[in-house]
Amino acid sequence: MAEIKNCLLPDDLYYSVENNVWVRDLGDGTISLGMTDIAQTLAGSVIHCKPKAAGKKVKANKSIATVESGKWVGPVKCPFSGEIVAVNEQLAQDATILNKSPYKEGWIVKVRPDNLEGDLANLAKGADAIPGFEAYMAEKDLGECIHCEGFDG
Amino acid sequence: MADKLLIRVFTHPACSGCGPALRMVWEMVEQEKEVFSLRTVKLENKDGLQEAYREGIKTIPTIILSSGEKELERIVGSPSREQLAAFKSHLKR
Repeated sequence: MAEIKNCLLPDDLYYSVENNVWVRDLGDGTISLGMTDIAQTLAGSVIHCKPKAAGKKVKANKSIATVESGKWVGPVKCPFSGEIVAVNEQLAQDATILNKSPYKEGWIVKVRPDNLEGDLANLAKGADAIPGFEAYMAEKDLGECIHCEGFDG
Repeated sequence: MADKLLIRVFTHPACSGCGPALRMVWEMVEQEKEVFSLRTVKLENKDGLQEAYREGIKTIPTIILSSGEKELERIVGSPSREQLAAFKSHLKR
């Protein structure tokens, strides 16, 4: 597990630093996607998460969900184009899952990318994302990630 | 009369353990008002977050007991009644 200022970056995930999202290759031509630990820390307590519906086509770097927290409302962007094949229905019941378990329970959508291999090649994997996130955190003036007890990565 | 010992509870709304921790501390402080004071540090506020960074806090709830500038004890995570009761040992010194 890579770590930067107490923010966790699991080694097996790919990261889009500019969109502040992680991508997991599910091995069947699809990926799951969610907010990074850094993103959930910046957002604060998430109140609502509204993903786009399964079956929708998405364009690269466009929104796949809208997230509302106590201090922020904004899009979660997918770094590549494709089709949403599933959404995490649990988030409608409890959006704080994004805070508690950003990398496991907190996946937002599953997407079938148009060009999976090429798209993943453009992302940073595991610890390779640290320099980019270091700069990102400095730009956002984020000192450290602080986790709730029971945080599940 | 000596200054009261300060108990700070670092919390965040997304933290399920923070409310119960705060309630436990509050109950203890209510019983020992003469010697303890309580301050809640809310991490959803910028000032609270900066204070947490200064204190090196990585997990919440965190409870810090201090006398003036000096930190006496720190509990990381949800406290037990025994841990909180141990705060009273500092009153005898």
